[in-house]
Amino acid sequence: MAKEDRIFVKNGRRHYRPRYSTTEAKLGGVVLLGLSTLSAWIVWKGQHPDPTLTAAPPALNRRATADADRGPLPKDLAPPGWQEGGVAVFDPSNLYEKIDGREGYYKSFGFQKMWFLALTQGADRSLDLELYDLGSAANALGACAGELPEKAQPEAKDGGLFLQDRNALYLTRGKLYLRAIGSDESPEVQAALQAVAKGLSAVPGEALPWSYGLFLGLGIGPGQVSYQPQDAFSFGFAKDVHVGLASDGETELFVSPQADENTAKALVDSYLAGFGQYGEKVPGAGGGSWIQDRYLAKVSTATVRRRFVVGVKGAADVATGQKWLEQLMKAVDGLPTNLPLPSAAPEAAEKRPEESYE
Amino acid sequence: MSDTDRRAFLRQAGLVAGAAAGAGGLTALLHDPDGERGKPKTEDLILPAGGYAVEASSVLPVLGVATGNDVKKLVRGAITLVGGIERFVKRGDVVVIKPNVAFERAAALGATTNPEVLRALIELVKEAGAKEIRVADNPIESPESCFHRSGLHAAAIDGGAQVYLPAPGNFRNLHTQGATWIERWPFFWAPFAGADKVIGVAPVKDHNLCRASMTTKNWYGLLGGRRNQFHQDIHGIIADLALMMRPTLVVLDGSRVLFRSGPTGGSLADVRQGHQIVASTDSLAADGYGWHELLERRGEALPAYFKKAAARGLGQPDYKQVSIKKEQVG
Amino acid sequence: MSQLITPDWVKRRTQANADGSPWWARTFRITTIRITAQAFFFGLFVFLLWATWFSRLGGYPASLFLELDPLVGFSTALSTGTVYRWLWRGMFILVPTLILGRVFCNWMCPYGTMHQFTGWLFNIASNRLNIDRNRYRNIYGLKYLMLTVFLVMAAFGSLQIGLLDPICLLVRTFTVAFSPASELAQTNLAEVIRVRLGMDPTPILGGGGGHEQRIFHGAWFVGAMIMGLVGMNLVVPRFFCRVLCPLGAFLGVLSRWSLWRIDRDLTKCTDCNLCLKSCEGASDPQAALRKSECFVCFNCIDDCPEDALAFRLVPPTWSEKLVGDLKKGTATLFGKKVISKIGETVIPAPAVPKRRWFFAGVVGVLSYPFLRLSAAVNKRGFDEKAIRPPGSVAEAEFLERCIKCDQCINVCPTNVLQPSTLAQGGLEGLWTPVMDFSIGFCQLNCTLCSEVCPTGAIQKITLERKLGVAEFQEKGPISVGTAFFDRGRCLPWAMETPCVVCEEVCPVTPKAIGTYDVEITRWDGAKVTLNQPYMRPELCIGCGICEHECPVLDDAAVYVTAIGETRSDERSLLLGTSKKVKS
Repeated sequence: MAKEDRIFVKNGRRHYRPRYSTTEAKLGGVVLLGLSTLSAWIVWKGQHPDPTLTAAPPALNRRATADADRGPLPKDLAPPGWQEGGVAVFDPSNLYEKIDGREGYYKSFGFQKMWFLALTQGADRSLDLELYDLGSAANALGACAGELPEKAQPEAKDGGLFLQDRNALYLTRGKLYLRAIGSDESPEVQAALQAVAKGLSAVPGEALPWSYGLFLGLGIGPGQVSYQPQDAFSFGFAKDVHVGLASDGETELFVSPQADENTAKALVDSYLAGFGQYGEKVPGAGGGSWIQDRYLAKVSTATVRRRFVVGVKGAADVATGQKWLEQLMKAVDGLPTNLPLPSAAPEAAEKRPEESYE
Repeated sequence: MSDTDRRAFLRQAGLVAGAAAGAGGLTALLHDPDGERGKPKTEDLILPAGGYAVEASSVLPVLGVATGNDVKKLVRGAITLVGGIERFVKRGDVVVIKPNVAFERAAALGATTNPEVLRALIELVKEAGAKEIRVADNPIESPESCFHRSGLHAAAIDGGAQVYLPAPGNFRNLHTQGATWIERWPFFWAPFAGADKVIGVAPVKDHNLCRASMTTKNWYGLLGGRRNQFHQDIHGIIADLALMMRPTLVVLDGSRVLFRSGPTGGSLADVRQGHQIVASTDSLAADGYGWHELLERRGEALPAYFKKAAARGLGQPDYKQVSIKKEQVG
Repeated sequence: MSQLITPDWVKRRTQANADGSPWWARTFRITTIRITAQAFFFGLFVFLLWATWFSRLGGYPASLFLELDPLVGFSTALSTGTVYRWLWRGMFILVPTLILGRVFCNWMCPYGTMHQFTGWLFNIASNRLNIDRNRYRNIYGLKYLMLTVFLVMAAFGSLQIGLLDPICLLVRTFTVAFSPASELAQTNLAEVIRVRLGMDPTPILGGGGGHEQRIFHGAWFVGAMIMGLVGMNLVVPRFFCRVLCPLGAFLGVLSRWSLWRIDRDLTKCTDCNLCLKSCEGASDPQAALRKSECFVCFNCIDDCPEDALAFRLVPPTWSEKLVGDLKKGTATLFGKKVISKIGETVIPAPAVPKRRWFFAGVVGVLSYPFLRLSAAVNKRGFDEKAIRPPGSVAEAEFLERCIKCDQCINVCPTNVLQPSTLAQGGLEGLWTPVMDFSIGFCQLNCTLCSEVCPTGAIQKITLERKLGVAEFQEKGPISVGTAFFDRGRCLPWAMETPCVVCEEVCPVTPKAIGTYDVEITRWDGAKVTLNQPYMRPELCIGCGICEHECPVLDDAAVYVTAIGETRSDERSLLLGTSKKVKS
């Protein structure tokens, strides 16, 4: 009777057991304890991720053959605790692979070859060395001076420039230019930079070029001397220009040796025309043709001395400029007569694609 | 016919008549004789007239350049030079900050905005009393990964800003009057809803195609749609971007300079410490400064997009012609 | 003393039971505990799938359920001879099954919970109808035959359990059907909030997933499959679990030896059959309990009005101890009168005749060559678009390991990983992960798929290994394929139009894509500099970002195929490149 009721009841969600046991509830407590343990474990696991999963790799650029030509790189350059990656060699045909976007800079300094070597310490500290062969000491010095941080004071020693600044090392040895950049500014990196500099001191240097002697004589530090093989001051005609930044920090003195006096004279006209694009002639200025920049109010000039184009750019006023120009001309007079002429200009930097859109 | 029958008949006939009339009325209401009504309608957005720029000042410099080592002080210093954050952000403002998060790279590789710069900027904006700070970008690679790997997600969240990631509903067509290519283009709209001020903060990067990617190119990350067509005239596009977004302020993050292998980079050897932060109300001037002084392309002519943008009167690419103030900080 | 009025429902719930036990013995009885555990494990399952994503993964054991699945461990051990990484966790299910029976099926399995819940929610049938639907039927033996087929094939090296294994099936369904659907719902809801309510939806909904709407090949089929299988509960309760589930069959075979089981007291049982009313496993507790079918849900104990059923440790076979005649009603057991007319209390083994086991074995033996000789998965006829995730083992070994769970597809941040379709990989490759670069690309600094793969079809790799740096420099990066240019469709090559998207996005250093920069005189006489791209196959890793970003959207002018993949010597492209070094 009661049984029949149960069979025909519509609500199938009822239960019919007559007896209950407290053991079941206690068992439930055990199950809950198990589930809580599982939850705790999962929460703990979630808080402890595998560090390799999200970490950036030490450096992504470690592809090189093990037995590559080391060039002038000394053996066992890596200081204790540091590991050497393979050496990669680049020439003008494939420099872009390593240095996309800035290869033109090195090519304008007569780029021949570059050896790349990475040193690593542990997973996240690295030091990237780039050793450039730029054909001549003037090129090496020029490339180096152009990449130094602003207001840097490099030393001229062992026949080359040397600067260790923060996480970077810049030095030249003859035609070689080394730049080494560390991943951070830690003492470990700085010690490694020192070790690298020491390792490279074994490479023979070369006496600094004549322009350094010239400018050093005028009280200009080696870090303020630069060399522009082409496109100096953004002038297409200005090649083989040696520039020194005067001690006032704004006046630039420049010298450019030419084949003879007539060539030099023709070039001086180009310089004056070039300066004239941005300014006007200063009326009544001493003997020279001084041109004052329209916006910056600085004065510049160029003239001929022997077979050299000499000039001053960006002096505060004509009097200062005249003072520097006279000193410079006097120094040029002391230069030997057999100075090298500008070598054949290196190939122009590659054309940029966007020129087609203009 | 009995009474009951009649009532039943009337009820049923009324029902049928009502249903027929309803169907007819609905059809008339929805009728689309030439198919025009049925086409999807999209309302175009326009950004506020004059953009998000604040009033120009004849006294304060256009460019503020802070040099030093402490990034936090640099950001503060540079912005102070151009008038301080109070000039740009008022109490209660909703501020959108647009960093460059384009790639899934560690911050040290210089392909993205330095998270410390973003951190410092958020702190400043907060100090000025902003109601809400939104950090947004639409990166090239998968957005979440880019934000996390670059450290910018943590920087934004720690500073109390909201991160806006692109999602399907977040884009709406933006109408930019006078743009050559992107007059109508999908725009990452969500963070701009109700926004008062926009600050761009971009790293200094080499770029294989447009040669340099700085504060102007940075707005690329606000667009959606078929961005891979942009390469067919990248300079025209960047000039359009300058027209599209007139920001309150741009901050050029020169703490790191990706001077080659851009825009992706990938090696520490491509990165130089720049030790400078530039703040400006003129993104072209800031980028011009970056080109010459941070990328150190002193001898080279500016990329073509500068000229195109300047021709529209969107700024002065020759930074030597604007008022500039420099300061050594810390 | 208390002036508080106790509401009626509280009174009802805290009344002592008729048998004198406290109220909480009723409220917290064994079935309540079971439902709690089911809810917990279902929640955990959904949570772990939600956590299977770049920004949420942390250290969560995202593939825990797959690793706990002893059929995954057992069948991959058959096919590979090894137990990969975390698959030993299957012991946590295997051992309890040997002791308690198929507790997994009704206490832990999220798919089982989904079926039970659906059946419960839509069941308005009378007790009589329910009792009829929960009787054992011969068709329920089918799952054992299918398991046999799958295991025999696995022993030969073709792993197909993933087609029907409930955990694989449910993970796949969540990945391919449910999560994209929830993204779509979120997007639409955001749109409604923005347009109709004029509010910014970001603070409410959290700004969306930070990625495009994910889309999947064959999502419709996976969706149709779950709707069909779950919908069957309205016709036959627990249809999938009783008829098809290979894991249930595996656990059923194991549970024939289990120490505990449901036991019937012949001196109390009135043969009323009410115990069948909610019997989940159709295990006939009213007669001879089919041990292999019992899900240990304890509903029978809940429903027995005579208190005749209990869960006992190795109960004796009562029928051997009966005295008297059962039919005539004179039988006694230890002097007590036997009421039930059915003397048998247990059938331990699955009720499948020997010849059917044998037939299933033969089907398994034959299926292997039938599947493996499909050209799509053969090394001579492989599909050029079967591009496997980085870290994958070579194709033959891959098919020995992949359980089609699609966890890799779930975690992939760019949506590039897609379940392979029948048309592409045949039945054997169905739902295994392949890359579709029109949808996404393989992100350079990402190894998430290798982290979540439970079986090592995608081996756990570090980023250093993927990129070929640090100690992996000699081996070089892992390449999943090689990109090719279609010069007939490339803008600079064919249409005199500038474009270098592919070069720009190429993520390797040095770039695998370079350009010939040539100046041409265009058809209209204008001078145009074009950067015509070329490929350096020795540097290409097949990540496909070039194909994904190519503006020739529908049929990209640069496209990746599987040739040159690191994982296979047979599919190498170049002589003597570092790519040939196997991982």
